[in-house]
Amino acid sequence: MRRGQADTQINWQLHAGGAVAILPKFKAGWPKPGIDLLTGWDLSWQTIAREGWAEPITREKVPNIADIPQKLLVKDGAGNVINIPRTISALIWWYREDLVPFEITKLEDLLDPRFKGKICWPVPTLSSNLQAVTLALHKGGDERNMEPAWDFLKQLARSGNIGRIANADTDITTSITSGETCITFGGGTGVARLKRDFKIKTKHLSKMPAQSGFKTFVFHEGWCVLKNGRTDAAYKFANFAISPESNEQFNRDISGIPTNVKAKAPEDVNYMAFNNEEMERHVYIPDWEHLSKQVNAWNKRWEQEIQPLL
Amino acid sequence: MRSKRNADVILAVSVTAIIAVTVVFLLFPVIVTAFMAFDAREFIGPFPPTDLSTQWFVKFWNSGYLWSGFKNSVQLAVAVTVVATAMGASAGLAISRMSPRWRDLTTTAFLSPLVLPGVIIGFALLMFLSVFNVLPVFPRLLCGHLIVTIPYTIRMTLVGLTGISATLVEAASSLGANERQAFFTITLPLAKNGIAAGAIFAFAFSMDDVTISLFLSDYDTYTFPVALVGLIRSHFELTIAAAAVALMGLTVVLLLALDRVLGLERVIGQGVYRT
Amino acid sequence: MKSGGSQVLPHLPEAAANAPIVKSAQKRIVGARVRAVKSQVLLLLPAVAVFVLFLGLPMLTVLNESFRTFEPGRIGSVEGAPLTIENYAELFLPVYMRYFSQTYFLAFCASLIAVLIAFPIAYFIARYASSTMRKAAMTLLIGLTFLSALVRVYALQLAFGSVGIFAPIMSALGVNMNGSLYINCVIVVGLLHYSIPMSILILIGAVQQLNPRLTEAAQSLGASALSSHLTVTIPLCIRGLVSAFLVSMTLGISAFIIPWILGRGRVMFISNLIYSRFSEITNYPSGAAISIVMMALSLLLIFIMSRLFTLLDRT
Repeated sequence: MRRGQADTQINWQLHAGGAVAILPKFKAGWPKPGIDLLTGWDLSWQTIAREGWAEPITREKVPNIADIPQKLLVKDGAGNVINIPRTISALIWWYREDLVPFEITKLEDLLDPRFKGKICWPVPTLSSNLQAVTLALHKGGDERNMEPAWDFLKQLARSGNIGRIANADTDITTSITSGETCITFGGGTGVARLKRDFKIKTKHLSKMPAQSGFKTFVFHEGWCVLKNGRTDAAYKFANFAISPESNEQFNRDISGIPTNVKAKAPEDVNYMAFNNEEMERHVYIPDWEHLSKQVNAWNKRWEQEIQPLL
Repeated sequence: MRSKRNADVILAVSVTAIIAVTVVFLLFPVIVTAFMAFDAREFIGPFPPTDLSTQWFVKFWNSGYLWSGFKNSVQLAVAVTVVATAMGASAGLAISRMSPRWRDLTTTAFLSPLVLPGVIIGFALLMFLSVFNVLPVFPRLLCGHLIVTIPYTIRMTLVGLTGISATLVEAASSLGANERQAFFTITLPLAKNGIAAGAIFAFAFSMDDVTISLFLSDYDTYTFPVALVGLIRSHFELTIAAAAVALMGLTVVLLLALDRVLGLERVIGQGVYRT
Repeated sequence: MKSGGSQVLPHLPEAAANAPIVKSAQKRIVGARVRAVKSQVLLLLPAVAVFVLFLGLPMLTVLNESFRTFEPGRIGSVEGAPLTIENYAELFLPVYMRYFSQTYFLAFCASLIAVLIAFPIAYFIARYASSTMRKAAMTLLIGLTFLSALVRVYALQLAFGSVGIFAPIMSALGVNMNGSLYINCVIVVGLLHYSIPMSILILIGAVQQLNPRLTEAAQSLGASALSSHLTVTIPLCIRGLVSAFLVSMTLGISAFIIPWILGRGRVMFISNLIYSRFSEITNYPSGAAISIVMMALSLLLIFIMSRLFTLLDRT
């Protein structure tokens, strides 16, 4: 992978953690971003499309895009495709098997007094608040009707069961591995890495029965080619990266599911791989465009109503 | 008389206790960090480590990413220290000669960047400098760091100047010294310890700043702490502890060298009344 | 401290009436005073220039941004966004006042404790420690300021966290480590780890400039060590004490990583509020408004404090 990067002489930046943390720097530096290929996911595509920063992706420029499922492609206002999907992943609920006081079967279990201080809850800016959307879906709402979620969250905050609020993915990692907390919500590829590197026993609530309330959110990550850069090199690199072989290799390394239909998925992430029927039953695909506009309001709501109860 | 002696004994005992507790408290994280740096496990696990290893030092040593940040940080810190100390010392000198009311006002103004979280300063500079978009990253970082270090160099110069009464300078003047001579023979040597302490703070702050540098760095030019944050964010590793231990070790070695060559006492100073 | 010229001046008039030589001396002194003001301006100029260019003007950009309307989903305000005071009005909600008071209160506690602890230690190091001990202490204190903030905070977390080294002792003592009181205490402890070494370093300088004979004189006149320190040493060191307190306070107010990690995300300082606005939700206008309010409040606080202590200093 690194060699591929050297060949094409481009800059691409991996920004883990807060999804849009990198965007302010581009805004400040625009129209000279200094980066040609930007990593992003469903949510940040929305912002990039709105700001009109990305070059169109076409079959002429990136021939391998033909092997990527159509439904993963995001279009900007002008109707051009802007993203090059690289990895399919899922946001899932999961816990440390060795530390939970009892086996979790439903969302209400989170309110059990035995979970005092044991939940690691991500802030609304992480995972675009889908953790709260889970609560809403369970209580009859959805991402457009979040009232039930806020009520549930207030109960949760008052219960004292939330031990840590994660501001970044790192916080989840350190909190769970140190044993400070034992249940959380986050990206599935990270969980696989934790299992591998930290040798902890985890259990995934990604394929739970509907009445349990635990939902899974499938998303994809990839690149977009920024305007005003060395676009040809960026196209070349991206095309190379999503070819069946390199896509498969890359996703095996990071425990993700390849986007290229000709590439094979690694086995250790079967908890994130869904067939059509499972997709129907366990997975919820939110309206990303709506979510990307709600972060501000949700974050304020969090600061005003939930944070003071913690 | 007896109650006086009792009071003195109680004072001595409590001071000793405070010193002991504080030393333990201050050193404790250093010890924990040292253990983390030698921890053979892959993560921050319960203390103490089950196995020791030097893998993190090896990783730190071999990490081009961290070294590049380290090099930038040292260069930046040196530049920041020189500029901030010169500007801070001269400003401190000027402030010390003002009337109390003006002195308070000016000091407040110069202290202001310290009450601003680095987040604000970094963000404001990022927005402002991007309007012109001419300055490369290194001078940008220099500007940001100067804003937070000059307050310290000014403060410390002022503290250093406190004990020097105007009478000493007047005495020199009455003996025929002109203003410049009085400054170089009386004021500067006496204020030296304050200025030196300010310089040390400036260097330390520049080396340690995360928030301002986060906003002003880019993918090519970044400082050591920014590299560490990047490392923590992408995949949490104890390399960061190894790096911290190495940095502290380096500081102690530098201070010892400074002591050998110049004498720490001479640099920091003993004050006027040290017997 | 006043300039040399102005202190000599009051003694002159009576003598000047009948001595022409003194008159010319007076003239010379006035000339010196003008020159002193000039050199004062020159000395201040570089620092002022840096502050105006790289702090003043950027803060004006922030001020401008703080009056703009934010459109959710965008990055910062759109060019030419309409003006509004909504960003400020929102901050008067009691809940935001709570964030402000919490930040200032915890920073205040930490600074007070830091100065109380640092003073006797600084006094001891400056007065009684042997040369080797002094060197060791200085090396340790300076070395500590170089201990990376990130690492330090994680180390403290390992010690005082809910699964930390002290956890068994705490639970044996019946301390509720999941309670907000405990978390606030841990934050103060984290702040202390910064402010104690800083305060000691600052106070050593102040104690060194103090004539020990003054305290000795008080004691030989029958005062106990405690009362002689309270009545002689501390008032004379007041400027150093103020410096130490202010520096600790400023460190505390603008703390960012300490509440983030040690506060377990459950306690938010103002920096954390601002950071999420700038970096995560890209609502620059709201972040800018908080920044401006915070700057105004902090400046006011510091000005009042240094004014107060100047008054104390004079009496």
